[in-house]
Amino acid sequence: MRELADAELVRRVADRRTEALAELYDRHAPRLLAVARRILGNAADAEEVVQEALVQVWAQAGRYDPRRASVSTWLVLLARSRAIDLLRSRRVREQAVTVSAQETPGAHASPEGPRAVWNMERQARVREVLAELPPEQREVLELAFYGGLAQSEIAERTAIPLGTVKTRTLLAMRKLRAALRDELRELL
Amino acid sequence: MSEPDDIGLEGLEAVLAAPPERLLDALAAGDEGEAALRRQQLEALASLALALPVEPAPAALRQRLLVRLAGDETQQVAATRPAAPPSAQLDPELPAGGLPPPAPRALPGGRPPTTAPTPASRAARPIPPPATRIPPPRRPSRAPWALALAAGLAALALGGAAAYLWRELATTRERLAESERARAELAAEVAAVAARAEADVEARTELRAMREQLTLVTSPGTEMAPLRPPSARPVAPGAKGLLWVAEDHQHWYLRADGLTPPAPGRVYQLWFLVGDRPVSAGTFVMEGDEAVLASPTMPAGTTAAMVTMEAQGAIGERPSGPVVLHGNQFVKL
Repeated sequence: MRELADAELVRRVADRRTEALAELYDRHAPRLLAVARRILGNAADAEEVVQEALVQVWAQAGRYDPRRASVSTWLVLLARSRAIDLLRSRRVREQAVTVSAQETPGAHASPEGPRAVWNMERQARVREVLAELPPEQREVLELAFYGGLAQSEIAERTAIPLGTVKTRTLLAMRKLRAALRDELRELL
Repeated sequence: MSEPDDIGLEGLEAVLAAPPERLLDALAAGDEGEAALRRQQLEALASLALALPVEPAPAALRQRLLVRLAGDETQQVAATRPAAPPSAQLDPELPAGGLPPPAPRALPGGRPPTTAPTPASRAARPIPPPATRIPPPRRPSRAPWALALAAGLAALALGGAAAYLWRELATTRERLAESERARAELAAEVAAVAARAEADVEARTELRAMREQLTLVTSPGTEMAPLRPPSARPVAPGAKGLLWVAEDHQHWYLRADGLTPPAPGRVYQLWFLVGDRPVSAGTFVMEGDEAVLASPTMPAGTTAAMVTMEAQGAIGERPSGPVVLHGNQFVKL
């Protein structure tokens, strides 16, 4: 059977086809669980977050616009947002943010085929770029993305000026975008 | 003065701070240029997730999700459909663990039921599997074979029509997906040029033209025609094109991909067909392996378009070279 693009799956979800949502789960749940667990620190909370995120996808699929973000990015942002909400509600921000991500490659759970190959290459590029980022630039990116902190909150937490936080964020973002230019072009 | 990156950072932070229910609204905020730049940043930032080791996706979680969706759908169906008559309710004699496989209502050994019969038991009918809405009881048919034949013929006709419609739907969806990808590419290019526009007059001119093209391809009422190589001896078998035509049927924008640079002394030329009469729409150049051409004028009555390869400097009133791309299916998006 022809492998459907993620955007086509979302369109089918909007048509109330549960098999399409099941396929999205199969493709993206491993990554979404990883993001949620990175933020929350435990598997049970991560599963709760991912379930809620996909229920929201079911409810809002008709409003998804592929011009604004790829499906994978939308799902990652959704899982991240729900995880951060849960994190704040449990008031354990300090503990979760300081959990460092393991850099060891994990089992790749994407479906077989060209998509899996492309994902693995992109994965390798991201790890390479992050490893090359200065620690202070990586820190601000991770505090913003995994910690849910605004720039001003990062400045307060790290006791460095807001301008410096912005500069480090911009530099890190530019390097990430430059290094992923080919992959971004494929996505966009 | 804010740099483009600063502006992008503010927009990025707005998306990251949005509550999950409002995420789609946050992604949609801003004009096309801002959204395209923000998208690049979000795609790059979301790639951070790739550095994490993936977690195994439990089958139990998948099942819980699908069961929950099925429960939501059942509630929605129950809320929108009229309540079934009492005789269609589940038989209280059925075991609490679920419905048995479909079978006639008669009890094993011909024993009579131990409880008072329900109205549904007056006529023997198969018990449906779980999660299927039980239809109301039907009156006994005087000619079951005639009804079965009519149902079979109707199913055959419906099946054929459904297969045809399904193919048409799949084709339209593929074209729509292709158009969306091209739109997204153009939006990304708009964002890239916008970042240089402040100090670059030429870039501003290019940006203006690209924004006009973006407006055209995203306006309601715009039609789109895919252009494909001819099936017989294609000059560029990997080439494809998309022709967008505004609702006024005057403004149009062509984007062709996969075209190799023409041989020395030759150029690509676009033609509009008005009936059988070709009208030249100009020649175009390659930018990498892409070509873009746009104009605010289109001949009235245009029904098709084609790209040919012509000898440079010898452009005539009619095409003389081979057809590279052609298309005549205009679809309103």
